[in-house]
Parts: sequence; C-alpha cells; structure tokens
Amino acid sequence: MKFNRCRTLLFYLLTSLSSDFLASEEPVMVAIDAGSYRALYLTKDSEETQVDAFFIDQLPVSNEEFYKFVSEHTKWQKSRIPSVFAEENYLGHWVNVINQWQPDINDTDRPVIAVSWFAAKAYCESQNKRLPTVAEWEHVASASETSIRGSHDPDYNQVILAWYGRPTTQRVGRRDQSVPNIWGVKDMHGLIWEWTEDFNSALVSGESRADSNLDKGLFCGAGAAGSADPSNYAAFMRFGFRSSLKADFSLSNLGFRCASNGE
Amino acid sequence: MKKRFIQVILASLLMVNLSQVYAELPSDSVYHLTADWRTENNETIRLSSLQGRKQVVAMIYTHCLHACPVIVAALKHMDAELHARGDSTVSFVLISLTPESDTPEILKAFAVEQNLDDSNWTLLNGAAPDVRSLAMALDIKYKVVDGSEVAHSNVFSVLDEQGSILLQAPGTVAGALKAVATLHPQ
Repeated sequence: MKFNRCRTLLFYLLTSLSSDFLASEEPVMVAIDAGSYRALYLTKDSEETQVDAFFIDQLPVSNEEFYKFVSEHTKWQKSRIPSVFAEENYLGHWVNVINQWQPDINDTDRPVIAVSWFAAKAYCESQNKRLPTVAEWEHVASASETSIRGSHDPDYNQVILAWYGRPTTQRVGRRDQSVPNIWGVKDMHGLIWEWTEDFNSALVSGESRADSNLDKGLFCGAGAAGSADPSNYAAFMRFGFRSSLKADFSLSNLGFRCASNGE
Repeated sequence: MKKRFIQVILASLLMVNLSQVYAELPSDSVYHLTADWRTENNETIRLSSLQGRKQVVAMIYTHCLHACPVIVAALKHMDAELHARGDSTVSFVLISLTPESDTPEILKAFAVEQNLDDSNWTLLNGAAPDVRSLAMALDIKYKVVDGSEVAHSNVFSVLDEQGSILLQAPGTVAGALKAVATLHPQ
C-alpha cells in the first residue's frame, strides 16, 4: 500500500514535470532603445558608453527553463559538468530524484540560481541569444517604473537598497510578482543578482598598466566623490559584487537572463 | 583486401585512442572548451588538439603598443631559456583578443615579424564569444577601449599536457623566469 502510494506520487511527479517542462512557452523579450550609460567610476566629464538598441528577456531564466536546457544539452548537467566550467555548488538547490538532478517542484517558476557564467552563456547560446553586457544590463536596470533614468527618482534607490540589505537566507522569490520598469522588463532588482557577458572587465582601465588606479576609482571614498553619480550606491554595490566573481562561481543568489541583437 | 582490413583496424584503433584522450580530460582542463579556432596557417583546430605537450598561453592583439610586446618578448625569452635547459616539452600559443582585425594572415605576418618558430608557436583566431570564454577559463580580464584598443590582464598561463593550469605569471621577463624556475626547480 505504502509502496503503491509512493509509486503514484512518483508517477504524478514525473508526468507533471515533463508535461510542464515541455509545454513551457518561449520567453518574452522586450525591445530596449539605444541609449547611453556612464560607468559609475568615471568622472562627470567622462564620455558615456553608447548602448545600441537590443532585446532582453522580460524575466530571469527559471529553474524549469534551465532544466529543459540541461535535459537537451547533457554536458551541462550537474553530474557531468567539468569543474573548469562550474564549482561544486552548481545547481546546489536542485534535488536528486532517481539519479537525476532536477528542480524542487516548488522552485520551477523561481529564477534559476547557482549557475556559472559558462552555463549561463551556453544556455543563452542554445536559444541563439547571448548574455547582456554590463552596459546593457545597467542601462535597463537604471529605469524605474516611470522613467528611463530612474536613478534620479528618490524611491528608486530606497527600494533597491532595502533589498540589498535583506539577508539571503530565504528562498529566492517567484518571478513576475513585481511591477515592470518603463521598458516592460521585470525583476531586475529584488530577486537575484545576474550574470553579464563581460562582468569582470570593470577593473580594466584604459590600458593594463594603469589597472591599479582603477581599484581606487571603484572602491575608495575619494574615487566615489569624483564619480558620475555618487548617490547611485546600489550600482556601486553591483560593481563591487561583479568584480569579485569568477566565471565558474555558482552562487545561491546569482542567476541570469539573456539578450539578443534581434528579436 | 588485406590492406583494407588493416586500414579498418588502424582506423578503429585511432578512434579508440581519440575517445580515450577525450574521456581522460581532467575536470579542470581548459580543453573542455570545444570551439573551433583558426591558426596563423589557416588550419581549423580545437584547443584539445594541443594536448600532449605543455602549452604556454597568452592573449594578445597584434596592433597593441603597450603590454603585448612585453608579453611576447617575455615568452620568447622563456622559450630560449627552456631550450638552454634542454627542455623541448613546452609549446607556445598566442590568442588574439581582436579576432576581427587579427585574421590568420595578420597573425602569420606578426609571427614572421616576431621571428616565432613555426614548429613551436601557434597563433589563434576565434569567434569573439569563444575568445571571451577562454579568457574566463584562464581568468584573464579584458575590455575593448576606444573601438580597437584592448585593455587586458598582463599575464600568461602554463597548461599541463592535458590542459589544466599549472601556473600563471605576469607577462614580463621576471614572470617568465619565475615560470621557468617553477618548471625546472633546482
């Protein structure tokens, strides 16, 4: 009897998983207009980085979507991925069911986390997309609900900083529970940190011999005082965080979304 | 008929060998990257074909005026120093950070100009996302500045016979000598 119930449960689990996964829709992408973006650590007079028009996923990639990816591209499965591409904690929140790692059934619609940069990039490439650059990501992230440059709204920073201040002991929230920003993109803040294509290039300055100067620009008070927007403390935190990452890291609050040049 | 039979046997032996080589790649090997690259001789290769010898790997761009000439000079010094110690187990690989401008032809011209020994040096051109992945695997930071200049970490890596990173050192003569000393402790 007990065995039977167990089997029924298992059957339910497997069928519901597979049908859910196969039925999942194509992720919605949002068009982002060209714009400019001034790296924080540069001074007010410095030139802005031009960002060309592009498309970005409306939501971060979910556990469900990532599960479908590793089912089709088995070299990225938790049990098979070489250590050069991901550290031990890769997909550490997934559960092992009959020798197969898969998301907990309560996690399917939460953002996938604990994925390395390599795995995130491979996921996007499997969809003929790519990871957004830092400039693209920040361009989208600086929008509030009502303005493209939301960092000038007083509430904008408050909300983000409140999230940064919250301890990450809780489970990552569900996607699509927040109000979209003016582009129509959701969950840029408040759920997870996200990988970018060139996350570690912030520490490189105009030429490699001068790298040491840039650390100051990013982290010192003196550097912040001369920067384009010292009030954008949240963005400083992101830069600090990104520069501490390595591409094989698999952190329990770090996920991603994809971008592309065309729709 | 007999000849054909031998050919089949040889071919299958070769395939077994190849599959063994791939199966045996250590988990931390950079050679798990499966992209195609073009050499300065316009041959298409994968990084895994560099297996079997130690490889000194640096990322450069040929029109660079600052750090790259220093890296290349340092690695040439390292090459000479290894030869002086009777070590012929190490090869050198230069990977372009500006694949659009550093075509195989330009890389070839650079190799000739720099007097790089064709039998021991390989220059590679690859697609931009693959260059980024390799840089990530080697923990090299770079950023295109002003359209064509590239700011990048001034380091090189020594890979063992199967593509695991043995050591990394600054791309200077001092760094090169340190690497030689590590490979040949006295």
